[in-house]
Amino acid sequence: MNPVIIASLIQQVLLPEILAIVRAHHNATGQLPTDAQVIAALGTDTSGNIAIGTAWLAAHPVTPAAPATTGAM
Amino acid sequence: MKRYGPLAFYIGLALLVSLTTVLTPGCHAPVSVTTPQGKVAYTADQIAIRIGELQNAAIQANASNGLSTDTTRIIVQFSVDANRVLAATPSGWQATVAQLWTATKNRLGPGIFTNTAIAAAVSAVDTVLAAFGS
Repeated sequence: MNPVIIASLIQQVLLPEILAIVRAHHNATGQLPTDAQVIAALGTDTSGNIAIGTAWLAAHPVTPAAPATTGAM
Repeated sequence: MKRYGPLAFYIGLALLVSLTTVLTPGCHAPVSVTTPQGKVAYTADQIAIRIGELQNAAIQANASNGLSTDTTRIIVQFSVDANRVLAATPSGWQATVAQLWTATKNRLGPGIFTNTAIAAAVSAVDTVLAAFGS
């Protein structure tokens, strides 16, 4: 397997997944998360994803299709 | 038939173990989360995290010319829409997000799986929706 693909898998999928697992069961102080922390995490994660996505979409607008030529000269 | 090296095997194994670890007993919120609101938020957050991973993988792949802008736009638009649903209705997102995901995958087509990182992230979303989405 291409080393670039392996590195990409580790960076983009495996590490975030492991961090998500750890974070799901322990808060910043190593304790199990409380209800308030879990509810806050949902707000933080969704708003963060929306902000990243919205910014990317704004930077990559849909290019309008070129007008069809009529053939008239 | 192409043979993969031991490193690829261990990465795949680690991904499988990590997904299994979080999704088998992890289908339930940690014992410290006791209220219905907390459990609902925990489940919705697990979905948001995987969708965010997919979005980040798509954006990074696009930046390195590994994914077309049109395809990336489909994934990012899904992420934005799904995260809005999760944030607005953490106890009733299942049908809407499942519908959005099905429509998104239909638009993406099978070509998306040629990018390994995207394919893995798509599988993670599939897995977490199958575990939590019913």
